[in-house]
Amino acid sequence: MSRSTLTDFELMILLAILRLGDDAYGVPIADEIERTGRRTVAIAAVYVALERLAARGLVTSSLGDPTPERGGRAKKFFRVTGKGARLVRDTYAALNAMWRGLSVVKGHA
Amino acid sequence: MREPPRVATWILKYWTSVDECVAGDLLERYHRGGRSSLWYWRQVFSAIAHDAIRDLGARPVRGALAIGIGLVVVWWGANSILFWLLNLPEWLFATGLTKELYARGLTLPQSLRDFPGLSAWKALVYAVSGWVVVRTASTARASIAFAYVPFVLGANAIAFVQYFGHYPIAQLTIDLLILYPLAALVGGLAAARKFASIRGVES
Repeated sequence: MSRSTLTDFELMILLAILRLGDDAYGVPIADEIERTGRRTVAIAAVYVALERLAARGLVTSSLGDPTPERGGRAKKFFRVTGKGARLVRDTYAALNAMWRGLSVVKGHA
Repeated sequence: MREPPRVATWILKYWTSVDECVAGDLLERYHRGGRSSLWYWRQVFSAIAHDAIRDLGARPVRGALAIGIGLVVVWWGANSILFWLLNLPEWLFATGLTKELYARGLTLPQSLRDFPGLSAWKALVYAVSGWVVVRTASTARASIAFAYVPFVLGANAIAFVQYFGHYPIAQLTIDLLILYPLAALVGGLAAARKFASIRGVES
């Protein structure tokens, strides 16, 4: 896939991973998006997006230890790669530029 | 510690492509977040829907072809009983069955039209169609069986309108909107490869 942009959901996931640091696995990522992004998400949707991001080289994953709370299942931790961080910065810059000068989004319409 | 709905967990384990980490995340969120059984079911359905969208999106032509063939199987199978009955041997005229059939034109005898005679036959046809759909799709994954169900429901909704007034509404609802889609799903799942065995997980 040669797409060089991010969907809003992919951007939210990358930002959630960056905010969580070393504790970024499915549950806190979904919680972070729900709490900060004020958006309800399904775990499966998060993983489908993470799969896409991993295929594009924007995130990497590693397996943690299994825990009893999870029925003996391991956690999969995610990290944003350098390429992913660059794309987040570029997206931020592009969105910021688009917003600049728009009084309507500041409530001055 | 309360357990999530067993059937939902079973579906998640055997009929979706989610790995152990996702199942663990769901369990953790269910326990720690005090989520309801309904929430758990919604997550499982979401996993099914994402599987179906991803698999059909990856091979749209093959997926459309498989679903198209499935619907043709349904049409042929459901109507073949008519063709078969029209070619009954002459001695059966004595039984009255063929006489009734000819007397009614191309319509089935009342004994066969009534629930559940024809319903059982058609349910079998739908199950076969589900099996054919999954076997025709290149991946033979359960997601194709789940994706087939909305198409069956759509086609049957049209049939529902068409037959409305000719059959009791309860029979139409049970047959067209519950029994046949369920039969198609069961037939499809029977043909699909179980994900747990793909992952090497013991059942």
